Amino acid sequence: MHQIWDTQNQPMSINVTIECKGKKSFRVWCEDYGKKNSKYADRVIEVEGKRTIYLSLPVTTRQMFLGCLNSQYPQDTDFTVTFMEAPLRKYDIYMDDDTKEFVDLCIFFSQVCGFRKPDIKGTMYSTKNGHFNIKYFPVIRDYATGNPMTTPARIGHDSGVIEISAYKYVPYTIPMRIMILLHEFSHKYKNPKIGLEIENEIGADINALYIYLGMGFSKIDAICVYANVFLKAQTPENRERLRKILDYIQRFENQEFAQAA
Amino acid sequence: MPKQRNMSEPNKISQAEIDEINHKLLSYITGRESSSFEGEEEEPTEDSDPNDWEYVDDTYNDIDFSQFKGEFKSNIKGVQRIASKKKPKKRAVRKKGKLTKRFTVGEGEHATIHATDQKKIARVLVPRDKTVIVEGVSKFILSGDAKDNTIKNVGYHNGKKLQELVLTFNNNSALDFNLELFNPSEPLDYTQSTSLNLNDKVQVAGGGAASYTDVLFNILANPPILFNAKFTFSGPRFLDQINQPLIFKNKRISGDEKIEPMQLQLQVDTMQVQQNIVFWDIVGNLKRPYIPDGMDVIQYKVLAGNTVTFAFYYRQAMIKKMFYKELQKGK
Repeated sequence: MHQIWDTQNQPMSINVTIECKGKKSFRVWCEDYGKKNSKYADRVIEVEGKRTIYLSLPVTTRQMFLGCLNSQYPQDTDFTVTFMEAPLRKYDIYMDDDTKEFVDLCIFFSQVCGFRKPDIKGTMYSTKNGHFNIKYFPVIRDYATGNPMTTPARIGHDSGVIEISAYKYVPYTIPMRIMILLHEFSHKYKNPKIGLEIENEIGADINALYIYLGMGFSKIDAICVYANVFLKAQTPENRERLRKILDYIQRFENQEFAQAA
Repeated sequence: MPKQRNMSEPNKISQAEIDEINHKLLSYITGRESSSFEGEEEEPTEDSDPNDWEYVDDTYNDIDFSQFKGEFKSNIKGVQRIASKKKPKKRAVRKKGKLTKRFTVGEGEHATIHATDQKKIARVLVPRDKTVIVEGVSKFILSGDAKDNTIKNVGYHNGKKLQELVLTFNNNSALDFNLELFNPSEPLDYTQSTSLNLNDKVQVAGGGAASYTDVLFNILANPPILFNAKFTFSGPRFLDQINQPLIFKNKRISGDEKIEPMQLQLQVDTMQVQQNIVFWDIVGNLKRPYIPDGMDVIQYKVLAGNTVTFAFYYRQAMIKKMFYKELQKGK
């Protein structure tokens, strides 16, 4: 079951109500209509009788494709889905001019990188004044050895250029991509502003989440993208990072760090 | 293509507030502030409004985060696997082998061309005096029969391209719509109607520059000759629609008329897959040239819910060109 939604680049939330007999598992997704690798939300949920979920879309395109399928039996049609537009929950956050400039670039890049192929030597995406730069590679390589690296993104502490690996980045949803970029941005540009060292990971996580959640993006994508990274390295530090992230999200939603707009 | 955003709006926040936000973040990050994640759960206060939680995505409640080291891993893996699940597209793989093409050369003779490499055969060059028939091409394309030529000549007359008049009848009412096409007095039937308009029922393609009534008045002074036509039918009863006859009524001012009904069903090309398009040679079927002049009309019924598109191919005489030499020179 699917629907094409005329979103006209407007921020919005979409309520998805699924009704079915018994207990079933559904995949609900939302993507840029006609563009590959451009999912704005992708969820698998269990429904028993009736359930409503909310897809937060602070950024949209002209037309979005909304789909819902039984994730175990895609041929199943014995259920009903209702899509309904709702106001987006946003927060009054403070963003300085640098952050705003980077967020513009970050959103644009995240929206298009799924269907634009990177050059083997890297394709550069920059802001108008060239202050912020994202270099899009098919895969990030170690400068010393030339070996491919597993990291989806890294930032040059001196140059400030963010390097992105298409191989790791393309499967992510757009909010996940934005989350990663904001994390890298926060290392170089947010940590020092509040008196933290550039390398401080928790500082980058929390600063990035402040911007990400404040714009109204979904916490699900943020949790999934962090969890995905931490699963591969379950160190005590990473466990602490995830605990902190989950705690921060909960407290952010309780409006401890910003008021709902 | 996503639209690039512009977030550069002026900040309406004081430096003191900015410092407070930064301080709050720093205290949280450095852990100088107590974390309630594992602490006692706070009871909701009386002020807390359950509606505040509206539109908040709660799907992560499906994930069990309680045991980070154990169950968490499998749960997250499941979520991530599903989130990044992509069904690999099956690509058609061409089987390797020799490429061959079989041709008919002359009557009862065949030739087969074998390609040596794996590239597709794009061009075949043969001597001019040899007949070459490439199998697989529709016989209709190759046919030289008069019947097939009629269809192939739609839009042309004696090799000259004709102009196209496209009329659309979109009957989205519950009642069948009877009309007399090219009857200039038909709009008068609607003069007393407050809700119906003939121009809403019959539309002329071409960006809305000319309405159907414009066409009716224009053809009175500049009669067109309609050579052939292409009709397209769609709607829930399109088979019934094809069965509707076109009744040509050639009236005269003496008060008599000559009626010639035509059955479109007989014109359907049975080789068509959808059979919702009818190509029609008007002159050949009527056995006379059809020139609507205000009295030579076509009676037709558009069934409720159906959409019919008539494309007439015509040549038109411009009467003003006969009277004014200046126009004869110009294009």
